[in-house]
Amino acid sequence: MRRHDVPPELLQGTLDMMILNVLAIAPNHGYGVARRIRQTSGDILSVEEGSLYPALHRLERRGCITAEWRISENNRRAKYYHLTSRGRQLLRKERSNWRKLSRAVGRVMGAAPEPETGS
Amino acid sequence: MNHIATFLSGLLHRRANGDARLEADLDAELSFHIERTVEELVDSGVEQSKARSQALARFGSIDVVKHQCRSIAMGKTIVRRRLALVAAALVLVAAGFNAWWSSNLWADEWARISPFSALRWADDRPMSRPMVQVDGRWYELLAINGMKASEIIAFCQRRYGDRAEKRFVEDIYDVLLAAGIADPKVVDLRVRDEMGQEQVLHGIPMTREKRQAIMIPRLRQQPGPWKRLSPFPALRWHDSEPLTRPIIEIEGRSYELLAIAGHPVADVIAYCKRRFGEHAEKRFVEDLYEVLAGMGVQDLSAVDLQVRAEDGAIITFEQVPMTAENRQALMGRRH
Repeated sequence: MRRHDVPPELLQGTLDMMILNVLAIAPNHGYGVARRIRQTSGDILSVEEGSLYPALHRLERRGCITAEWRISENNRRAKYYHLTSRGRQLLRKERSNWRKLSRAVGRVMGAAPEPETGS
Repeated sequence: MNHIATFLSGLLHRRANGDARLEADLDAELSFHIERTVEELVDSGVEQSKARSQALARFGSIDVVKHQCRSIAMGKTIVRRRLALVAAALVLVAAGFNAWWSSNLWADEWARISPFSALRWADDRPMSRPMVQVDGRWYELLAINGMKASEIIAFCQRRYGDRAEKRFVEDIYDVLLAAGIADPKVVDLRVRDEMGQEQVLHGIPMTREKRQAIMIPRLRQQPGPWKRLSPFPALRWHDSEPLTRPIIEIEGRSYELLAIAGHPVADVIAYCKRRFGEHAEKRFVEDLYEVLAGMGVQDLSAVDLQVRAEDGAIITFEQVPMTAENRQALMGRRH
């Protein structure tokens, strides 16, 4: 399996947003969230999966998501996380910020010519 | 103050339980992740023996993750504990305020009123059919301001649980307000008289005097502070059948209890069943003082016990003192 190293500081800032984005589609457990992020990013954002859990618990503590134990798709007990209205609000705000940031970075990067490759 | 002590000990108990549950939840959550990753890897062709180590590598350090999650949860717990302490302080303030409030006659005059000067229950079964006295006559109460008595009773049971009967009888004004009847200081009562005729008693005022008249016999029935006393140090049931034939111990010998303070045991048991429902056995055994007081026994410092000895002889032990030591011994054997 391909695995790409992504600067942790970048992920730290966007991990919460990605988790909220995945949970906005449907309630999911930690494994499901990790898998979804990996798949939708084309395996580029293959983070160390354990780091998801502190983020999930932090979001739960902030009231952005809630959790309940349910039986999973393979008949096991799993902790499912749901987005709350507070989480939805935060996600809207984060998405908006992200768009502004990526547009701004895109403009800066687009202003300079591509660096030449080769000798 | 007992409530506060219970509340605080509950906090400590919950803390221990909460910590254990946090650990168990974390273990279960992370194990699920690892197991699902192993399955995914095996499905993609990785050997079972290698799949677990790959899953663990993908996950990162379990100990570090658990530590981080614990820290987050503990932060939440600390906030909760602080809130709990604030709540405990509020309970203390509220208890003081309640004592002050109760001691001020003017304070809740509006609430302590009733349209009846007496109330009893048909067949002595609480929360069945209320029999009320209005202007010196007894009626079966059918409805107040159009709301059926049975609906008011059901409302009390839903809203007040164990205190439903008390609230219905003693705080009917509050109950009606809570049930949605607007400012019921003057009410229409639909009743059935002794001849079985239904009628509506219009414009019956709720007054403080009537409520006081209701309260006096009820207060007499109550033993005041709940006295935890018993005339015997042990009680079990014949053939382990609760609420049948109580076997008690006096001076180290066993007897079947036949009567207490002149009341046949069967009557005392029947009273407990009527009054305490599913808690009848507990109240009979653990709170005999309160039970007898509720039955109208006046002097409970000592009681006559009529018993049957093992050889069949009927014996009366006169003026057996009710003591805290007996009750403690009885409770020790029950638990």
